[in-house]
Amino acid sequence: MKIDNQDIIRTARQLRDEENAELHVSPWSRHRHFHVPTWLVAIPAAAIIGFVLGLWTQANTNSDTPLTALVDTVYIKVPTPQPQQDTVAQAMTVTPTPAVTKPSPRQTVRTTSASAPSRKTVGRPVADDHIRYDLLVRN
Amino acid sequence: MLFPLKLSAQTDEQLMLRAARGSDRAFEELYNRHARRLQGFFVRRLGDDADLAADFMHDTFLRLYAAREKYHEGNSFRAWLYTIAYNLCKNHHRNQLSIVRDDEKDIPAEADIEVQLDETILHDALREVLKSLPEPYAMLFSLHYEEELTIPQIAQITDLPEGTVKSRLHKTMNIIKRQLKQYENR
Repeated sequence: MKIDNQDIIRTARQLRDEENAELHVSPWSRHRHFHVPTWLVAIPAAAIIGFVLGLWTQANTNSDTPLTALVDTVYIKVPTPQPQQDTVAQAMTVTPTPAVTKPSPRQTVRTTSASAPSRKTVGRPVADDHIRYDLLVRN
Repeated sequence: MLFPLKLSAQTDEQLMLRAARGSDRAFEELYNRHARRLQGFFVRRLGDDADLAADFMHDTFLRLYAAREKYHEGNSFRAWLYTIAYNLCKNHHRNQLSIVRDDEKDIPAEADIEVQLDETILHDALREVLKSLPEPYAMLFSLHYEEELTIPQIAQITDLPEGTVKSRLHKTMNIIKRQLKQYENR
């Protein structure tokens, strides 16, 4: 068909109405709209997400480390024969028992090389200087 | 002067007069009437940037609201509204609207171009042609044919003589027809 000015005007108005109908129009507000730029939100958000992800992955790495790496000393319990049980009466009275008993090698506690070897005594605690520190009374 | 109570029954000018006297409801009614159409105008004039068009539309109404007390009885509301809108577009395009391109100056004003097109093709072709229409012809076409403002109103808005507006509108039709002719054999 032959196109004249009226055809063009009519079609232009039809296009206008189609485009206007698709618009989202916000309600009237006396205050100026404030639009935060996208980059102003995206950059801090990316930084925070990266930080949180970093913490999370670091936490996962730590959980994989062996337990022995977290402690200085490993204590190993050596099975020993059950010592004779002192009765309550024996415990209450001081008997002239030898102040120092030589512990058997099997009754020692093995420690790491970092700490000095110490002896574990069976019976009443007696120091190396033969003083019964447990009987001393504090004034 | 007495106003009818129902806002929707009032003319734009009556509402603007009420808004000038402090009625926010009257101004809101004007916004509801014209916001969508004005936003569409900005979408077409700002290159399909919907967010920018929404901002410009809101900005236009904010300026109108700020200057509402300066409204004089008898002035056309739409002419005032589109004067603000036109100036916003003009500032955005940095005075491009007033510049007639050299390659458009030789368009004959009296050319009679015959175009034969199917109606469905015309719809899609015109959409493309209007998008590629150079300024200031696109602005004048939009104000006159799409926003349905009169030639005296457009002359007042654009600060051009009425004769210039008429001749440019005539040239605009010829540019459109010349571009539509390229769609004849598709």
